[in-house]
Amino acid sequence: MKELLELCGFGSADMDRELPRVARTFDKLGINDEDIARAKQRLDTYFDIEMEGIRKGLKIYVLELVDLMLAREEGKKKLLYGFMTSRCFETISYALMAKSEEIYSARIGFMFHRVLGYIFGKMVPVYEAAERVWVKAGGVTHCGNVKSVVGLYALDRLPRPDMMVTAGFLCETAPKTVGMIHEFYGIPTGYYDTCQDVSVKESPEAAGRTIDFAVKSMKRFVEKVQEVVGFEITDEMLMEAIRASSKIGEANRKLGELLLNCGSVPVRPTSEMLVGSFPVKMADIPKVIDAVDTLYEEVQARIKKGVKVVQDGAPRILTTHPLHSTDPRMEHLITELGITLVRPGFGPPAVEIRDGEEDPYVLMAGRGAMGGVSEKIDMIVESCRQTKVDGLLDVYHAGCRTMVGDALIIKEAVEKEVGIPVLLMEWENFDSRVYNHKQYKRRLEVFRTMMENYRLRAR
Amino acid sequence: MQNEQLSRYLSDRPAQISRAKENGRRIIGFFPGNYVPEELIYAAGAIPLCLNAGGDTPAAVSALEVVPHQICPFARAQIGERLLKRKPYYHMIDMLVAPVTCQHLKKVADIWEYYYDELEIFKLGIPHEYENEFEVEYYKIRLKMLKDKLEELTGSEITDEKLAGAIDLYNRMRRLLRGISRLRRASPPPVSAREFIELNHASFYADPVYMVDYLESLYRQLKERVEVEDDGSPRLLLIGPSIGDEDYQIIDLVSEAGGNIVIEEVCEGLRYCWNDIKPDNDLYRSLAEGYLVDRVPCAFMVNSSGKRLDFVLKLIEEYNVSGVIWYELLCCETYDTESYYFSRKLEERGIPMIVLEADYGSMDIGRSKVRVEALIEMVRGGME
Repeated sequence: MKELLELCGFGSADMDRELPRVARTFDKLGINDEDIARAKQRLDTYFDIEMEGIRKGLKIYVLELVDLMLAREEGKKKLLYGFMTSRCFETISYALMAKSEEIYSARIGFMFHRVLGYIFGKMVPVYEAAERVWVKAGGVTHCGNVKSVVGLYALDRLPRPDMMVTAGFLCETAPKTVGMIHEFYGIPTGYYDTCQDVSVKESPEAAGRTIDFAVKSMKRFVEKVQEVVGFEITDEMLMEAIRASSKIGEANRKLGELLLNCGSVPVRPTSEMLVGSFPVKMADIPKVIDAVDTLYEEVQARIKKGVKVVQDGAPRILTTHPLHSTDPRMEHLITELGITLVRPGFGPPAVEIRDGEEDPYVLMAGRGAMGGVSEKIDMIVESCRQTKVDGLLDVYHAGCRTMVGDALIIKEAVEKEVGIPVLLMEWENFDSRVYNHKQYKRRLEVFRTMMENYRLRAR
Repeated sequence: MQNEQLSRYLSDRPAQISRAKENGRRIIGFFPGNYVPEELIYAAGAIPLCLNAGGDTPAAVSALEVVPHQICPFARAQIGERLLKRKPYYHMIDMLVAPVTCQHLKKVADIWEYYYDELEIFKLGIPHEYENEFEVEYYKIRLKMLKDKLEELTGSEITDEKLAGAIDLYNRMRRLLRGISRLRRASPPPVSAREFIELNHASFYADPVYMVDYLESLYRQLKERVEVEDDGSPRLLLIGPSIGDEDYQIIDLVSEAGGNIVIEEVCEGLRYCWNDIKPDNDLYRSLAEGYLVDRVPCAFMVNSSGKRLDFVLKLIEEYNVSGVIWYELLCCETYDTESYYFSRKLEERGIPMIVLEADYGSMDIGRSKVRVEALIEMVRGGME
């Protein structure tokens, strides 16, 4: 265990303080010596683990999972968990935990995805547990993200929360899941939403009605949270949280621009999985920024030394989907096959601070409802043109109805308007059992050939 | 199955609508789910048409050139029918009102918007909760915006008087369907599940004045029908997200196996008739409350499960139901999730339930038949 934790950036002081906590957490999660051996191998194989920035990021994730698993034991009086909640709940969580040491509030799924998924490759038992209750395997294609949280409850792995929170910004599956968690496990729930009815022909101002709806919905939700935690959540608390988290956005932007403009990329795309995400506690934001900045320095040094993870002149691609949430093999495969995965941005987007806008709820509502397929296509086409990529990897997460419906239209539009090859691939963004590695490898090899031919024709 | 008179009327209906369109009337299509107030469309002098095709393979399969198979077959059929140009209603419409209910139907609206730039599409946002004033108010405001759009398209003002008249007409239709449905509490029911569902589907295409007259006449006849001896067929309740027009395979299967579906709780494809719209000073508020609040929520709504269970238990008691068939379409994740909840809750109460999944045409008829027969045997065993 010590060797693994060293790989995850734990120093001797960390070890003394945290080893007993980590051991208790691993015990609760059923992590054994075999899992630890596998984790070490995975870190070595799929990640640039020699980079200090990556190890700093890893340490943050491991400790966040430990904090969650031991929250009740270590004296937290109120626990709030978020599932598919958007930046609103994250911002509220920052405010809550900054105000009171007795509260634990966080989005929980990604902690397990990063640690149990990326590091240990041990999410399958969680999915199988979910499939023994209501998110069955098979034709209905339930989302693996949903299986993650349901499975954790089915296995009784989570300290029981005082509230389970979700939002309807992306889909209705998350609220339905949380509704079932309430029905079967008796957990009180919280919810906020918008209304996704803006038409592409309407003026940009029309989105204002969905923002207004989202603001009212979030305020109603916050009233409910206040009843749980016993104190007021003021606008100033939320603005402070938004300002603090925007600094991560700035650090990520800087690193993202460096990687986009450096030519041959010196670090594997899997690095983004472990560095740059928003931490659970506002107090840890400086640690995340430190990890990103450290990685920035290391990337700069590698660029100067001419370090490349793929050879010069390798085909460059964009992908339509975020990186795989639990399994680094796909992104690793892309790099192994000598393809550069271009990322237009690094890390997830922060709540955007707009000049003159002082209402944190308006800021958290963002643009309101997600745009229709036309808007999405325009963004992808523009990204392809700006980054001058040789191909588009049109990946769609089979469990996500919101994403799935656009995949074929995106392919058609990009082929027509940009003229680059597009590879359409169905996968499951959380559950790697759906993934046939050899089949994907073959398809990506063919895709690479298509892009090389495209380049020859373009000259 | 359908009465000859009604069948003839429906066969001629596309031609009728076509003539009306030539004479300047506007045709407004909408997707089912009972969230689009037809009253508004009718009050504008337009013809409301529910786009509710389902049940057969070609439409759902042809949509696969546009969307992957994880979009439910009913949603795919709405894309496919437009591609195939088989059903005239899908091409007669001047405007589509698309209720933004689940992601599947939202995607259909997005895709129609993308491909059919010439067609006016109004996305009617449905708040997924309705416990709060701002949610009902949002829906009401969207109805008023729909009203403006309809007036612009038709050139006809929707006055309160016209709207009140339309509400009254559709309330009569709801009461008649409710009345006919309630007659099915008798053993045996005077009208079969298929007949009742076909009546519902007819009501989505027919002129409402014609339909109300027809239903009134039918209701009188059914009430006067001589009682026949009960054959003891097990009485079943059908639950599901959608019964599209011509999606009758499961209903026929149950009938052939000796079962009797006496009542349904279905979100799309059946007209919600358990409550009337209660007209008030603010008719738009009345519509908002009637269509959003005063009804049993569909599974895509937040916290719907408990409320729907309560309603279903009432139906089970009122209709003397001994077994439940949960009929869901493949990839309908919200109904699939709820099927687990319902099966557990009904099991606690000793009510057997089976879950059947369909993909329009690829339904494994043999296996489903066995399961239906097993349910019927189980129910018969319980009855003895």
